[in-house]
Amino acid sequence: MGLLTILKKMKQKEKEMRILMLGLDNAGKTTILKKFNGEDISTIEPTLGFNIKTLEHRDIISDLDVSGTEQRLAGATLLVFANKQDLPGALSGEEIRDALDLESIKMHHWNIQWCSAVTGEKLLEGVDWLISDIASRIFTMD
Amino acid sequence: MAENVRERLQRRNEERLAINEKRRADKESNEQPTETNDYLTFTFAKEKGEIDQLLNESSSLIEAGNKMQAMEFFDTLAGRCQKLRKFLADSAMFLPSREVQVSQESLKSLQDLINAKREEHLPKKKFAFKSRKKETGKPEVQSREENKKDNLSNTEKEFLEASLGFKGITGETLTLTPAEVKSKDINLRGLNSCNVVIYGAPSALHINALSDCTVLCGPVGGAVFIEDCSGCNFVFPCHQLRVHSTTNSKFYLHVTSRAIVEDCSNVGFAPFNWDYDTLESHYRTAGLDQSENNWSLVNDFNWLKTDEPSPNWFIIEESQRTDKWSSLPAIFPTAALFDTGPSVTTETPVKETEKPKQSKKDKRKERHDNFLKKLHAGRKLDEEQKKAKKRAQTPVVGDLEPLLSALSTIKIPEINKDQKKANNSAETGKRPKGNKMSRKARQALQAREVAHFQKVLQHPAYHANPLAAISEHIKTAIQRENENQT
Repeated sequence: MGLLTILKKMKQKEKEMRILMLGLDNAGKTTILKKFNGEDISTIEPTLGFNIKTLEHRDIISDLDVSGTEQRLAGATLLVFANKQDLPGALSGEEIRDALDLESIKMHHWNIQWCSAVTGEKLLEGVDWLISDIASRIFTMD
Repeated sequence: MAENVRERLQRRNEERLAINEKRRADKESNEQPTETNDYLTFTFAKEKGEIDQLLNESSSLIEAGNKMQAMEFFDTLAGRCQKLRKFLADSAMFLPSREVQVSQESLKSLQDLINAKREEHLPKKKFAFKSRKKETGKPEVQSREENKKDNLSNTEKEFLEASLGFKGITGETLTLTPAEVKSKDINLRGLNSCNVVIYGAPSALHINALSDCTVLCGPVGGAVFIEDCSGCNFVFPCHQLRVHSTTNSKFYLHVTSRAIVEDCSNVGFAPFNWDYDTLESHYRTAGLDQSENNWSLVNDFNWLKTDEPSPNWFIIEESQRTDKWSSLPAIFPTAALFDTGPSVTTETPVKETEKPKQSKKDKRKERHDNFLKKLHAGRKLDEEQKKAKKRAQTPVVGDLEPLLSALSTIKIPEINKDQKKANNSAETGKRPKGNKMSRKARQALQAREVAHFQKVLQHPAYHANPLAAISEHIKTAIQRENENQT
């Protein structure tokens, strides 16, 4: 293996990011994942364990995990999707921000994005923000 | 010659060693001072030591009760810790793997320590990424529970009050109509020994802390949540079902996606077997496929073995299934009430009515039908008869089926008695007319009944609680009947 190959691999590895998605039962985690990947969302079942999907967006490869387990995430960027905005009675993004007291989070970059996984509205905006935020923190070689 | 060769080999070997030595020397002189092993470990240890020290002195550095200062203090510490982590990651390339591992572990314990200290100084954080370890002391658990309660009293409470449903009721029959529930969320919470009948297609159904209840519901377009219930019957079609912490309950289920259970025990599943007049149109409203039912494919989140079935849930055997709600629509004619208007009918299920007089043809037909039934499903018939007997014995409380049988028993004995009387007095040659009426009389009776039912529909007591009003009426009717006879 030549030096060039190693460098290439390193660079490639650096453009990968891992995204962990957490949320309540029936929040729409699998739906967001499938919608983003362009899969059928009408036959979604409650997820047992976790899903891992790799997807490429803006030349960046992301591994998306969907699971109910919590994990230590020091300094990770936090994106909160306020999903199900297409349904009546859904709390607005601001209301959820206040309910979760996101303003008190200082150790993480965070953002809240309203969306609807069923219609796909605003999903892209959220993921775009997520990726650019992570990229600005981590990818220094560009 | 041999000497020559050996000499040559020796020389080449020496040359090679010299070159290696030179290379090594070159490399060492080129090496950045920041890339040496010692430098890296030293810097790491130094920084870690400083953070450690700061942390140990935290109680003296932070004024008691000064939350802002505490928060800043811990934020800087966390920031330094993070920088250290990045430093370690960057220099991982130059360190032996053992060294990296040890450093990472010590860094991790340091971070844990910071989090623990932060918890000490700044308790009760509403939301943060924390590891939920069991070793955290009791007071913390309590504070978390308090938080939970607080949350319930704010956002969740508001939500509950704004949504449709029932809360904290014991021993009643509760109904909701299609117009009320259409595409809404329904909440049932803290009910005891109730019968809940929901006609229509809600978008979601949340059920919490029910005991000894029967819940019937029309097709639910989205998900149904059930939590902390026991001794209940649930009868509904839905897209998804999630059952948590529920015991000793039975589901008569139509599910188009999948049902899951978690922390449950002794829950039984059977296919959906309720029917009411507008059920099919409600399936369409909910967007559920009536032909696809995965009621028997239940996932247990506490049971990951695929080769063995979960002991927490079971399929209810056919002989154990009940359909005591099957005759509900007859006593609560939803179609007539909500869709078609005044043409209220008083039809009673055929199997309950005793036939006052049958023609030969009818008898023959019945015998033939019975024979066919026996031929095809002898066992099924037996079961049906057994069920009917059992039902006849159950008292008129809560369950609606007995009401129905009560209805028919008032009416029919009366007719029979009239007939007997007529038969007894028929020695003079008068033929008993039975219940045959002239067309005019029938029309008059129908008109009277329609008017009567219109009045009933407008009656305030009926509006308040239809089923209660009807049962009250029946009770008084039976009493009157008995008084008249004696």
